[in-house]
Amino acid sequence: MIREAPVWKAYWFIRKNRRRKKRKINKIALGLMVDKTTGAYLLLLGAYLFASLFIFGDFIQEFNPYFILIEENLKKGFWLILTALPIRYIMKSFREPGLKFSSSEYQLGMLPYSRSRIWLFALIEKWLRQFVIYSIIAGLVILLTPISHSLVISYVLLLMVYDIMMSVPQWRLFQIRFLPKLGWLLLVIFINMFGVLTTSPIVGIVLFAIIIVLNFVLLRSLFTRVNWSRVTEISDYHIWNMWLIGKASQTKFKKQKKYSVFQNSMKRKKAFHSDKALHNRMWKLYLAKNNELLFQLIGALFLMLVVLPFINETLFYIGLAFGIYAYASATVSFFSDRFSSDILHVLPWDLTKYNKSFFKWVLYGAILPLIPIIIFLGIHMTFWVPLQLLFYSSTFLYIYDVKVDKAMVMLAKKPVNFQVDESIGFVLLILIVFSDAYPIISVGFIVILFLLMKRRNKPVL
Amino acid sequence: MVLEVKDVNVEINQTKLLEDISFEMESGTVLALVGHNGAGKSTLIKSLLGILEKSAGQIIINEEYNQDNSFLTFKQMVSYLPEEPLLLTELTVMQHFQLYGMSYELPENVLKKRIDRYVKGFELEDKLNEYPESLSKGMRQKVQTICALLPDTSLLLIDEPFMGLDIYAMDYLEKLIKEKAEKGTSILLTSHQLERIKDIADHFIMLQHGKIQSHGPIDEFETIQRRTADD
Repeated sequence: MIREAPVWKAYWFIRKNRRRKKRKINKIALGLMVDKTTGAYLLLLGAYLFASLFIFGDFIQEFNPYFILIEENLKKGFWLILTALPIRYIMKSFREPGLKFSSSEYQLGMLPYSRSRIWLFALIEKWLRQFVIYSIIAGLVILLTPISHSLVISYVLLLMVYDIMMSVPQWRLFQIRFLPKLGWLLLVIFINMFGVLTTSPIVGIVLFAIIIVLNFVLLRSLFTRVNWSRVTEISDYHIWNMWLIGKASQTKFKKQKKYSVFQNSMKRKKAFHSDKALHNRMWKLYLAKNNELLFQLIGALFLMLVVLPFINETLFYIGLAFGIYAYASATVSFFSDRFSSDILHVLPWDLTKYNKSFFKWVLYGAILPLIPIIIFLGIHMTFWVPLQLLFYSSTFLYIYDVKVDKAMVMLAKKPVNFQVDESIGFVLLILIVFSDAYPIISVGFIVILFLLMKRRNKPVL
Repeated sequence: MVLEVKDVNVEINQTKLLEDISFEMESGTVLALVGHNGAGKSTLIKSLLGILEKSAGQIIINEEYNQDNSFLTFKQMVSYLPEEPLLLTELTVMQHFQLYGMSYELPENVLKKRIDRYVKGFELEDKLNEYPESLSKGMRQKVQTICALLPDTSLLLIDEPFMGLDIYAMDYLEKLIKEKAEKGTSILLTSHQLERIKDIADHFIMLQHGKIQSHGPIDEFETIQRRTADD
């Protein structure tokens, strides 16, 4: 009889060596960032701060009223949180499978070890790690705050139980397509709304019971139609995307992208009917690969423009000028970056055509930040508002045009001289700030359009 | 003169990868770059292509287009077959060919004719709608090879073209390289398959530690190789 090799030994061997390698890399990065003397001073400073805040001072006690408020809300909202927690896991299933099953674990499954058992070890390891993290946080909360022990422990248990109960559903959800996943998300949000309206604990308990039943049902199809390529790709990214290394090397770790959402449709397999369609696809692929950065950029601009009017109206105009500059700069960085990676790096570039096809995406991205601007101007409606909108749009177009021309000239390795155009751009941004107090400025959009036309008539390449 | 390389130096982190590289290539010649692993062959190809910035020197194509100030035109005149395929996971085999056709501005009928011919020659007829990761390593190499051969450029840079190819594909590629050279394309290639190189190339450059150790007509290569081995 052939005896199966002990899986846990092989799994542990990989984990031990991975940890060792990461420790070694971190040590090198730390050595690069901080020398021994600075390290010693930093430790001393840290100890001093800790002692002054928590030992000698009454820092925490100053926040006691807030902690009492938090405790009350946590008690009141326990059942609501019980109902709402699954949303967190469903949202996560759009991005990650819920456990780290890297290419190493996958390779191990090709040796005489059961892949399902390796998967189970990875899951148990995740639960244990989560338990340790929750315990440490709970310990600190119990030690440093007046929040009751029983409440903290019940929340730790709640989080832990959900971590365990949602592991299988998240794993299965990760494997299915976008729309069914969205359907599940909407369903749970609907149940939550029902819970909020009824304020009854029954909704949470019923949902929890359904999740338990779902676990038993899903266990049977745990490893059917699993997209291992995508699972390992994301796990590899999470394992090796080390914060300290990113800081030390000033580089961003990118996902390998063996998998793509743009693959499985027959329509996408068809040959391109025109150069325009091909350009369009090239941009779509690039932007999809950088979606995280894009969402961060657009989301941050949107939030900034939503929040600033509540603080101060002048601040809104400063934010608007900053937003226009930041968006133009960031989009042009994306444009330039496209030509320094993959197959496009080695191909000839018709930069003018690429710019034309890219601009459409720049406009799409501007839609979300434009909403708070329109709402703000709509609330403060005057005769000047349409002209102001034209002024802001043309300023953006001008700055974008200058920046993208500069990027194209640099890509073509030609001499760069855009000082006058860039200075005009800065003046326009300053004028935006004053366009609230002196709305007549917005008539200047005619001058900007004239400048733009002049620029367009003189191609840089 | 199709290619003039004058005193090219490449440095990364103060380490010299290439030192004072100078050579010229005439139209329709095949130049073999030989040397041990790490001698600087791929580095030279990448600097010729402009992927790697040179710290000194000049690279001029067709006597007037300098890589430093006519980069876009320069790129249009060079085609490159990399050692490792650079295919995109999101494009099918056919879509890769279209991308190359568009980038090198090939007329549609010419592109179609060439695709048909090369695809048949490399036995990829039933793979046109496949994505790269569903192909074997050799198939991916064939796809990348076709991509590089599609355009009519003045210079074709080929890095280890025979790696991963089966014997029939190697023979077919050798035939295509010779054909391209006959039509006037200058070809610079690296390979460890010395016997094949002797069949294809007219001249050779032997690199060692980033410097040109010896160069000359390919007939002299064997003598130099023997002498180096004796040393």
